[in-house]
Amino acid sequence: MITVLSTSATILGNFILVTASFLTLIILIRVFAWKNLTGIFEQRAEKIAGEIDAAEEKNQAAAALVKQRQVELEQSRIEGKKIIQDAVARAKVEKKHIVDQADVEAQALKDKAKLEIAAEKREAQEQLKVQVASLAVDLAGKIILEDLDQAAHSALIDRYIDRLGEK
Amino acid sequence: MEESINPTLNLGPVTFDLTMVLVSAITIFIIFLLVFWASRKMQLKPTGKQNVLEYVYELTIGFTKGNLGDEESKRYNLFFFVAFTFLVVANNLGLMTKIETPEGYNLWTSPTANMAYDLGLAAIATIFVHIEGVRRRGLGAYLKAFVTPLAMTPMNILEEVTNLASLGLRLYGNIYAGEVLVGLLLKLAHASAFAYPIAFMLNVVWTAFSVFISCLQGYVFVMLVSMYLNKKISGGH
Repeated sequence: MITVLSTSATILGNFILVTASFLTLIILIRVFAWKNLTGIFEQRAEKIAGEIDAAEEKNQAAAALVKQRQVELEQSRIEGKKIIQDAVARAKVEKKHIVDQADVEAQALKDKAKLEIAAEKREAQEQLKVQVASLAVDLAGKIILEDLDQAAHSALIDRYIDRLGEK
Repeated sequence: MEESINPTLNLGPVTFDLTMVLVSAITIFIIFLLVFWASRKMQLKPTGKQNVLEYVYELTIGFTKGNLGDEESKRYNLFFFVAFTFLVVANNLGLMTKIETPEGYNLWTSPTANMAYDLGLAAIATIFVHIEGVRRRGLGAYLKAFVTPLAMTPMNILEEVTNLASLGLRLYGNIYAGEVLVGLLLKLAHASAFAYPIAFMLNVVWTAFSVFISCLQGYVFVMLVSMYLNKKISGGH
């Protein structure tokens, strides 16, 4: 029965001992190690949260950028189309303008040429008339001055007339 | 082991069991050194010893989370972390060896293989639970929980006592039984040279099983205390 006696004698001692041991251990760990241990979890959680936030922000920025680019692309496509349409329209107008002008100019040239031809023709006729007249006067003088026989006379006249017809 | 005589020291009216003092001190020393050493230079990317420490931390969180929920489990984890490591080391300490002086003084045991010691631990846990109950919900709500429903009042009061007793005695029974069998196997080993190898092999098997039981008791203790705590701080539903 020694065991029972020794046990009952040390009950209080053991009770105090376990309380002291346990509390000492709690205090030691609380003071020297607990902040390090829990701190690292907080730090890690913060870091992960921060990184997730940053990634989300970057994602959003990228999405916004893509949208902006799409809008810009669409806009430039529309602008390009418009420029081409404008150019085509302008070219049509210009073409019509050029053709019209060419028509007008050609017409003017034609008219001018016709007028010039007519004037030249008239001038030539005038000149011819003058020449014919002077020739006739010359001829008449020659005929009068020269002593011609009838045959020579008539031959001369015929020849002259012939030549006149050729003109 | 309580079969043998332990050296004692009388300080006034209190008798201290010196073997228990020694093994308690060793328990504290081992845990504190390991935790202190492992918690130096903590890094965001854990390596080696920090991994182990974090694993134990997460382990006790895991034990208590089911009862207390995430937030409370973290808040009280210092208590549970210390309780769990204390129990695992203390329970296994006695399995390592056996030191006896020629005069029959036993110098080595698990501190938890002693009924008063285990009831002391259970008392610490119970007092902690009750203090938290009062602190978190106020004295009125704490006392009211005992008399709701009114007819159950005696049972409610009795429950607190049985909780304490079962916490302590379960631990004591398991660890003490482990040590008794180790002691018996040692006696068998001493009985004859032929019995020695058999006793040795049996002891290896039994020690392995006892280690398992010891860790399991640490888990059970932490688990039950977290359950009692939850009942007190959340109003017992």
